Amino acid sequence: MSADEDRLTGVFAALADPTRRAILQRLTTGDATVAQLAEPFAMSQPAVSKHLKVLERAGLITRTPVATARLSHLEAQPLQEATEYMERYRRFWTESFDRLDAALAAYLIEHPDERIPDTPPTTPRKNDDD
Amino acid sequence: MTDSPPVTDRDVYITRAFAAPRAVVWRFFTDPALLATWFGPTGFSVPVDSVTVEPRVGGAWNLTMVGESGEQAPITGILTAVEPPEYLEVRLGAQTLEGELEDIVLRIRLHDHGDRTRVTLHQGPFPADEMRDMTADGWEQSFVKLDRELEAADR
Repeated sequence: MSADEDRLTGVFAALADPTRRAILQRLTTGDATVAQLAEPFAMSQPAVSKHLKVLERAGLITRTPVATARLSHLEAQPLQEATEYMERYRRFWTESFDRLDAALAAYLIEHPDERIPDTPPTTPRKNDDD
Repeated sequence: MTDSPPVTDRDVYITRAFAAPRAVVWRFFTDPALLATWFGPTGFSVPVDSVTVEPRVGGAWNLTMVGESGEQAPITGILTAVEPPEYLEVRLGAQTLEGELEDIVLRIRLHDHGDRTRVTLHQGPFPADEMRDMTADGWEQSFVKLDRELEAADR
């Protein structure tokens, strides 16, 4: 098998799985961590990670380490056009939230009494938005 | 608890954690002076006196973003759910470079994690006409295009 055929086989195998297609669809709205990708699926993060490895090997996504997480990024060029439009609205919030981050930090420095003192370890809460 | 509608490909959905207690984050969405400090993309600012928040169902949630060259982008909203310090829902209209947006629903949910708050944002639906490629035959069409591109690339 030629290298090109090899690559194509990988791409089609990656796209044949409905979960992986759903992951690609989610990535059209922007880069995401494994935890974010696992959220809409009844799946563990390791299971999602396996799917991401398949997608990465097929060249459909790339993964970039950011802080303690890895962001998955959609690479498939033909899928790009349709996503650009939504991406603008997404970027609006990403940039706003970067500023919110900074504004909250500045606020808590000025108002230390509004911090929660000696917060006991929080137990992870179940998502209550589903 | 207000039901969450499904997220579609015409919606923006973002989840992000902030290092502040929920009550504080809530005020950054509902207190005009605090909202004005962060809202809007890079290069825009929000004059405090352009912000109106009437924190009750049917109340206003308005502000104007001002760009670096002075261009104004007003957003007008009507609050459709106010559940402090947890859930805020606004029906928005806005002037954008592409034209007017109407009846976009913005849903902000704040999840309490002690000294941290996770925010989930769900906004939509955005108009479909600019996304014709995606909506005409849905996602399958994109994969058909992808197949074609891959074939072409391999010749």
